Amino acid sequence: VTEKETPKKVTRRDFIRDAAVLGGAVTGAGVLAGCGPTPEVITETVEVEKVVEKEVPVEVIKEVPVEVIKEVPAELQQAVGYISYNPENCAGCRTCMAVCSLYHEGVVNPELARMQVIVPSIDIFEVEGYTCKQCEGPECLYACPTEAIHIDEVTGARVIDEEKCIGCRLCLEACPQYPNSPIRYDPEREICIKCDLCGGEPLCVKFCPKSVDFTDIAPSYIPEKDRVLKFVKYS
Amino acid sequence: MAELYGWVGKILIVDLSSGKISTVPTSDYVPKWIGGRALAAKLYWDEVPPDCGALDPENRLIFATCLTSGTLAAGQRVAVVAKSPVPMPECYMYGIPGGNWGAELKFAGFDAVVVRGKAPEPVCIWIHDGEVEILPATRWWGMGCLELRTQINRQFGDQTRAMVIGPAGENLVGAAVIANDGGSAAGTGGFGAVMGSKNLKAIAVRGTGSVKVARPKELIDVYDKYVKIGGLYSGPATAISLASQLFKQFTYRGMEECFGEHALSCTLIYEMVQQGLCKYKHVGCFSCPIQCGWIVSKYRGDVDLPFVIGDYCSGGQSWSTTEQAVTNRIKHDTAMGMGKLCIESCALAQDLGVNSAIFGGSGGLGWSLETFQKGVLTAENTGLPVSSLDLEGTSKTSTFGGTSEFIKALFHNVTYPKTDLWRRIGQGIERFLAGAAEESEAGKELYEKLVSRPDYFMSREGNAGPSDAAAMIGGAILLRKQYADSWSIATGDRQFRGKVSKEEAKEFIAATRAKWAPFFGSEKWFDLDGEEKTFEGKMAAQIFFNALNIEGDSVGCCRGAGNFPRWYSSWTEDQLSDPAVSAKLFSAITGIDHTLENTVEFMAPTLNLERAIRVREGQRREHDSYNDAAFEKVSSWTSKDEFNSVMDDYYKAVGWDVDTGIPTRSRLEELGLKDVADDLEKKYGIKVPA
Repeated sequence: VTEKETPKKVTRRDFIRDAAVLGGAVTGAGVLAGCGPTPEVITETVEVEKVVEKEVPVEVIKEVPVEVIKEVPAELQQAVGYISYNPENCAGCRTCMAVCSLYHEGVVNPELARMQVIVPSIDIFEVEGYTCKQCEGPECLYACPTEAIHIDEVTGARVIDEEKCIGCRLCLEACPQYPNSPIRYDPEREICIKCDLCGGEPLCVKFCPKSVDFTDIAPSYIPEKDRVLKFVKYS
Repeated sequence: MAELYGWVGKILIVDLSSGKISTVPTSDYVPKWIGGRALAAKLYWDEVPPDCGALDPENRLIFATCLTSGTLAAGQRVAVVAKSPVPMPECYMYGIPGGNWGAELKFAGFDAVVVRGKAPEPVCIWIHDGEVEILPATRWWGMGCLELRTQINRQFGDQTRAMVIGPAGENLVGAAVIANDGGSAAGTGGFGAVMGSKNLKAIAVRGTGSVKVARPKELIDVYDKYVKIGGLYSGPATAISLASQLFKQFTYRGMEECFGEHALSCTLIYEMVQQGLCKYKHVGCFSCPIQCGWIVSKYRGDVDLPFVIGDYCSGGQSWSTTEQAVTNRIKHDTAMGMGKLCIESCALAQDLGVNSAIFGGSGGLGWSLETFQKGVLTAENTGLPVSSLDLEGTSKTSTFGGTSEFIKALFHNVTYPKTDLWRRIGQGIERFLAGAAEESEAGKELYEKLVSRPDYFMSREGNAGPSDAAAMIGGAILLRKQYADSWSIATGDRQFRGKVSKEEAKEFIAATRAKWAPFFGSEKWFDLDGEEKTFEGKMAAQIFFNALNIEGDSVGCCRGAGNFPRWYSSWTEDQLSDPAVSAKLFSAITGIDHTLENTVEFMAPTLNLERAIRVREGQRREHDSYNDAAFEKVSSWTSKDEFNSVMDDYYKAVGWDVDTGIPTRSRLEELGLKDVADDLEKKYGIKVPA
């Protein structure tokens, strides 16, 4: 069986390639050069294709390219704040990730948490965490080919519209923190997921035992400077 | 089949003799057997032949995750069950360690693991995302737990969680633990030896899957409440954790005055941290609000490996257990000298995989200095540097202590027993003294002293010894005698912070008793200070508390996180906690409604099955009692006659035959356990009363 005879499965790489080619045909290479991912990205390894195999009707692909070469507004609404992580006092309990995945996905799975705390099972001094900074110039948003990533009107958080997301993971790679991107890919639903500040009251901050705000009953319990997770407000 | 929530769906069965790996659906067992202790008991009933020896290949090593494991709700606990080599005679036992292993196992796709048989060569079981492999582990055999974990992480990735044994387990020592990640361990019951007898060095797990929850928002709400009132900051573990964070300025002497001996360790760490001798941080089990563990590292270069020292469920691996067991009450010039000894002993116990609690300390039947004073143990027969002991008894307690050399020699001799005496010592105080009783008068005297201790049955390895019922009724005595005292932990904490006066605390206790009186059908469900101590009105409360405990062990509420009694909270205005927490967690996670009111009936199958297991292993009515001398010691509380009449009442209340202590057929059938009654009669030839 040769490769050509296998049924057509459109992978994410294929999709980008097709999109780029079509886009070039429609609007010209000059526009392409000025935005988003360049075709070089496409020529990477094959292994990713094994993971993501997605049936996409061919018609859909034809519609999308126009959106790939979209206009990104120069001035974006600032997010109200972002979640900061300080490993100093982190106990590695992963409550933050448990509550995050439970709240957003309805399941408990640290892999699907929209902020990642990597806890080595032995040397917990070496714990690391990655949270979304809700960047002023959000590379994830710029990279998104389908405008799934948009600005939440209330919080200003950079959020993903799950309906529009095609799971291409360009946002994840565009994140300045990549490869430790706090944007996650959900292989089951085949979409990307990212921090939405829980609508303004981030649950990871609320439930972190090392950040819990007990000022009313134990003011000195955990001083603000020692807290692990903080909801830092942008001025 | 309806979709399962909370459970991930598969129970893994690994036969090390044949190398066969299989699974059975969890839905065959749940929701009736919940998870944790209940599920493990059922697997034990189905799997372990009553006549097998604890170290035989026919014995099973069962790991059953609690329902909350891998969920938000302090989801970390896992029940470890096997026939234990420690008690006399060998019998069913459980240990319920915390850590991250249970959660990781669920993320890897399994609710429980049953290990059968014995591998021909040392092996390691590697479980990752639904895949299971039995890998050779000969190169790891003989390795200490600390180094082993490093090796496991090197091979399988540094987020791998593992249940491991140290040299003590390999050498089939009764004091051997199964060390979980994070300094937690299945410490009692000698499960390390059971694992060693199967040539199983480690069970490493890594999973990236999900645990489904039926009502996520509800679970978040329940947990929020649980954290605020029930889980967070209640119980002694938290008192220390909290104290150490609140009162950093306190010296250890100051702490000793406020919190007694329990407060020593945390402040010693602080002193050492302040002097730059080590670094430390609090660590917690998966999604736990309390974080009772500490990790300490780089102690003066002597102990270079980081290791975790928990305070609860640490199986004799913790700082405080080691401290109380072996290093406490030794005369030191400085607090620092004692701190150093503590850290060293703790690291050694963790590395060898040996349970220091067998030498004393909280919750265990400890050795006493008397074994040396009376000459049962001597420098000659043990080879220990006995001269370092405080044999004149000038120290405050009878737990023995010693120098660093003494402790090192002690742990090494227990772990690598070269003589018959050391092998017996490693089997725990009970077996050791029973042997000594046959050899000398002094030994006999000490053995009788041990078995006449009122806490003999109760302290027996986490209340899971042969006489659960005696422990239960012993618990009723405690309800009568000490319950009000235990409340003072919470109220004392508030008093300490100037929140309430002593009188207010007393009023609160009385008010709480009145509030819950309708629930227990009696105002006298426990006695207040100054009241006459009677058994009146205690039975319903005690049966309820026992059910609540089984429920907590099965649903998975950490006892350190306020599982028992879960009535008080030092942090709510009315000081009341919420005893319905585990029922609420069960409902939210599984989507199957369960309330506080049906707790007793809900846990009755497990109570009866555990009893059937013990009956199958030979326990009867006559074992549910104390030694005559023990009754003399508690004569101000109770008499043998009164105790026996209470035991009659208890048997009647739970549906067991008064003469034999065997569950009645009618009760078993009522609980849907007809097969258990049939098996008892047909397979094991035990007459089951109607």
